[in-house]
Amino acid sequence: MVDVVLETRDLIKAFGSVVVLNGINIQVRFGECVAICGPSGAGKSTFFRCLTLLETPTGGDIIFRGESLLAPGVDKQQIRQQMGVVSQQFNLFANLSVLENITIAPIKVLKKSPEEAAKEAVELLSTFELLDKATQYPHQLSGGQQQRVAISRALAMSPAVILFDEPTSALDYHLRNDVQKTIKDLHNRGITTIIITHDIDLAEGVATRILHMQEGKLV
Amino acid sequence: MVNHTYSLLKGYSLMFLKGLGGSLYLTFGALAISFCLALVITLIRVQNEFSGRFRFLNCLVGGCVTLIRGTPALLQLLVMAYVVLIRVKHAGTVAIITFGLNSAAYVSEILRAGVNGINKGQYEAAITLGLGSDQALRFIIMPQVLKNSIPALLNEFSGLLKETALAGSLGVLDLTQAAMRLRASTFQAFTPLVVAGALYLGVTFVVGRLIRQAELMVKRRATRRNQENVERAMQNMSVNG
Repeated sequence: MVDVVLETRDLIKAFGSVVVLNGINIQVRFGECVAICGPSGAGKSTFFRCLTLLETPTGGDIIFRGESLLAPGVDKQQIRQQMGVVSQQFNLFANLSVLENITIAPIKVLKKSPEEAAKEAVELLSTFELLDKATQYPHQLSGGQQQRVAISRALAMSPAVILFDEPTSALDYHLRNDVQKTIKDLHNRGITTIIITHDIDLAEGVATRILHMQEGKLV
Repeated sequence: MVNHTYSLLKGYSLMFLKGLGGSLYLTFGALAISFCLALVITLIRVQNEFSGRFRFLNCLVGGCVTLIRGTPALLQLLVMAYVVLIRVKHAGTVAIITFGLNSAAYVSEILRAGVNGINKGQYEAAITLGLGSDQALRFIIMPQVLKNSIPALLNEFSGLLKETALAGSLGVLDLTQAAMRLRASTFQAFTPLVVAGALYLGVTFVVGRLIRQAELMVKRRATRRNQENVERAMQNMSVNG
């Protein structure tokens, strides 16, 4: 059980009388790349938001590295630092340059020096072939470049796991292949990834395990 | 006519300057109160919207904003002077506080509109990176809100400058009041009023230009700082192999 990085136990989320997640059980091990597929309205994004604690589950539990995230007094900020999140719309900070997008959390949260954070950011940008974009702003980048900046931003926090929410939904065919390659590279580097997607081709192309969600349940 | 106008301006320029000084004093004094208060109001409302905190305070400030926006500024000035701040003897202070409160209601609405224009996903992204709610607002949301709100804030500044003319009803010497006093003492209405109008216009124009210049300067500085950071990081990388 030691190698399980993230686990949900009978996870339930309801909005009023509408039950969106109905007892989700999942275990993700270190180094795995798990894809959770399903049609629109299956509850995938709500599951993603529960895992990242943007929504508080109605019932059940989420265990991250052996610690319950829903236990009273748990430091959510501390937990979030260890989970990299790349959301559907990338959500890059519009007022910050690419470099600042990547360095802000290491500087403000991990208390790294600006020089150290910038050095690590430049290394990440170099890995993702974005070094020439370091001083540009998000609106000056293509969808694929924004995606890679969002991944770099998540990786800058050295997370234990990276969660992707519909990583290819906003991208064209070529960019989709780029993203697939990027996720594969992350997996090859031993980074645990969870992908929420309705793109079955992407899931088959990158995941070590594919789970299907339908009407709030894993089937 | 020209000579007469010139001699009037020359003879009473001190009066105009005093009036202009009074108007600027009222405007900037009120602006300071307005901006500080509006920031607090906006933070309360944004925190409530994004994280559900400060529900009671949110209702309270919402009510105050509605009250201020729904009543005339002159009425507010009179209520403050003759009811709420009746013990305050200095009419200028009463005017500054009133205009400050009045403007805060409008500025907070401008800032709120600025917040609504920003994708909430950015806030959530900041939170998922481990930043606190306060840090997300301070480093990510509010800088964008302020930048996007500059044109509307400039508009509010010009509105506030013109609104200070109401302070004359408490006997405060502002630009309009100076023109009125000159009209009374010279029996000339046209020249003092036109000069007062030109001065209002001039101040609004100059402040607008200064703000735009400052905006450009901040942008240029940010680009330069970015460039330097990247160059420094790359130098460090090459030094460390």
